[in-house]
Amino acid sequence: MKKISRREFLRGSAAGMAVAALSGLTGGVLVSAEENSDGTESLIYHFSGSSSTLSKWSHSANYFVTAFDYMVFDPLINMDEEGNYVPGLASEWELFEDGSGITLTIRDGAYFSNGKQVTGEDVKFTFEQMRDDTEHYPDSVVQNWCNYLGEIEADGQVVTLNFVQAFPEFWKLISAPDVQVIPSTAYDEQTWDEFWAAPIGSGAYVVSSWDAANSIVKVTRRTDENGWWGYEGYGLSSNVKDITLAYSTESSTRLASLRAGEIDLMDTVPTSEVVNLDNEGFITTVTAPGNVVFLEFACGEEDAFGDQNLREALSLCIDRDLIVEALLDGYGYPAKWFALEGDLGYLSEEDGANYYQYDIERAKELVAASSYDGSALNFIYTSSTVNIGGELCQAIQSMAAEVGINLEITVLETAVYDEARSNHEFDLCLAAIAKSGNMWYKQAHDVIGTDRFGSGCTNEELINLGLSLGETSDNDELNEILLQMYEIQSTTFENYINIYFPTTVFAQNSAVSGIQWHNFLIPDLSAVTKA
Amino acid sequence: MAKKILKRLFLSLFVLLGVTIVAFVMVRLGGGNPASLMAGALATEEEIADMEVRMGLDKPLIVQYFKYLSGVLHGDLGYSWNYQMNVTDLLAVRIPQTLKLCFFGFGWACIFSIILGIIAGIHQGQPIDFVALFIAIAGQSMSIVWISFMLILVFGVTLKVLPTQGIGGIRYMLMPGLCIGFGYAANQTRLMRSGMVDVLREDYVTATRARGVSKNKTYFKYALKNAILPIITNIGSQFGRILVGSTVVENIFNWPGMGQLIVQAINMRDYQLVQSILLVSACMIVFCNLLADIAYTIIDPRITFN
Repeated sequence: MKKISRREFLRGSAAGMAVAALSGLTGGVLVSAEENSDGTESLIYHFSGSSSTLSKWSHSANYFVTAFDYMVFDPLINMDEEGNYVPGLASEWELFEDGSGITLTIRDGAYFSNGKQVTGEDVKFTFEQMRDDTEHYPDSVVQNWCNYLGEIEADGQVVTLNFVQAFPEFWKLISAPDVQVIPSTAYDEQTWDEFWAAPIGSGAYVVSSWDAANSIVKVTRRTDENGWWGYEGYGLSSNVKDITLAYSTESSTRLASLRAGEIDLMDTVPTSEVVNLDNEGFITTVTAPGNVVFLEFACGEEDAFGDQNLREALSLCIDRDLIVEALLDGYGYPAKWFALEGDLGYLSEEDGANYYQYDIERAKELVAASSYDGSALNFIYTSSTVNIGGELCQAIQSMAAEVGINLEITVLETAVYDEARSNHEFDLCLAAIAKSGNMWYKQAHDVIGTDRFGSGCTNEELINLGLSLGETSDNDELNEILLQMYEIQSTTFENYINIYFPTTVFAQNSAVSGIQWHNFLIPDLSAVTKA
Repeated sequence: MAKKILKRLFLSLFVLLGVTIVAFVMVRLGGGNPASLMAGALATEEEIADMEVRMGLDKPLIVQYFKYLSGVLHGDLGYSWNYQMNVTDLLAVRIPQTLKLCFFGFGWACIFSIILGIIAGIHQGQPIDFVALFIAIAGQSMSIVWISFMLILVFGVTLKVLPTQGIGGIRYMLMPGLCIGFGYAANQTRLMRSGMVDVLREDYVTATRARGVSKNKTYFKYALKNAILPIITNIGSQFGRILVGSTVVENIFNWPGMGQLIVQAINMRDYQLVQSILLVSACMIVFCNLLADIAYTIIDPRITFN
């Protein structure tokens, strides 16, 4: 080995450092502040959630994939801003009288971006993939469909889906869009992974690049001769050629990028900044609540919250209005009842609903009348479930202390939290759960019916009602069951109490318009324009 | 020398083997079931059990460990269930980004701190010395998070001269690189300054000057060589600190490196990804320490490699 002199070594070191420094000058993936030559036809949208796949078959999908779906795929049945069902890829549909199936007529003028017309065979193939799939995660779109789909028939543009059991969440899933309709030839010449690296849909945009490791997808407006049927069908237009969806971890950084003009749209705006953004000329949009934040009790016979008086006392001492006003800056709805107006199971106070009350004195009396001995009760939460989890738990702890309930807060990582919850290692648990279309199905069916999260609830009547939700697709029947459940819960406070319905705030550059909000949940950029 | 380096590399293998064991055990001691996380909150017990089988978590721990180790020895760092990618492929994208940022931060901090430390040491008690001390104290006192957001606010939002986040050319590296190196530069400025002050008080420096050797030659040829030895040690040992700092900075500046990855990997109990990130980080630190030791012997031949 040649001996290196000190001078050579120092020279080499200096050269190495220079190379390391200069490496930053070269190339790299440009994520932000990209402009087309005319400076007006690109749009950048930064998300708070990441995704490692564009397929809903293989992973739990979040807003990122759903927003992507709106651009590259078409929902079979769409939903307008008021929540009405309107034609999508299916121009007509007819539910069987007994609710055991549906016939969908696929529109004639819809083409995939590969130039092939969308037919009933493609839709059949798509549903068969979900029905027969055994490869993918339980926590995916497959889970939603596989247990319900029976025989699927296709005849030209008509597809018939037969359900093997009642399908309460059908309307929510069909319009999300939850079904990515793909060509029946999708995997003929490509593997699954190859296809989903640049999936082919019938939407307004096609994938130009997908960086799974960094959650960045770039789409470009279709230029094939058929184009997207929706521009003509819905009377829409767009001048945005390229759209980039990218994951960005920190909300403060996303906000800074929006203010700096590097991005055009962002989600999850910190509520304290909404007024400032409005004053600065940005457009903010408050979405409809898509989930509910609630407290789940461990209410088995051996548990402290097995005592109804204590559960009611906790509910009475929580000032829900104050929480929404102080912690959410008003961007949310205090949960006085189990459902919001327009949801199944909604009942106004005037019509006899027993709304949650705020009554400290009554709460103190109930604590005194309960069997509770004042010992510390384990109150668990994880910050990944509720954004303001820490502050919220402290507020609830303080309110509970005022009436003599001693809550000891334990913050857990998501993994440990899930384990503690399913092992019944808590007294009280802060949780959130998503809405299913126009009802809080999962909360009623899974939190109570199947007691998925280990509350130890023993109220047979309530549990049976929860389970019976899974036996019907009829909205009237679902509404009736939910009302019965909520009536019982408003008296017994089993096995959870709601705190508030949070909203999400989106902010956009004022030059951007044409964003469609289907049922006010997720932005659809397929007809976006930029001044 | 070559033999000694090879011997040292061989011994490093045992360190890395230890890291694989510690990482394997630690990530499992954290609690939580990755299969449950992958299966989703509403999965049934059967679905979770099925997921455990698919992820290989149903096998005894010793089998899981040796399977992982065998993969590592064959260049396969495992599979990320969260990202649904081979860890090797995932890290191949992320490691260069982290290294790029760390070397940039490390590079400017080294150059800046050594130059400032030398000047401050030579001009002890003068205004430049106070400026250096102020920078050193301020740099060590300020939170990296605060500095990051201040830089974004000033240079990104107000002046709009630098991008607030993302990756690209040198412009994208300036703010995160500054933040990563700031604390380190502060620490090293103090070290360099005090080293220089101590050496300049040595008799041999006075004697050299008395023999008529010029100031500059005395400072840079004779004094600096001794004063810089602690800096070499510091450079080797502080690279780990820079790596840790990158976790915070990468998240703030949305820089897609290993730091950002490990946060998500730990949250999702992505076992093989966490283990591999820790292994790769350990390799980097071992390598940097080795380089520092080699540099030590070259700068001061009186010190033997071992």
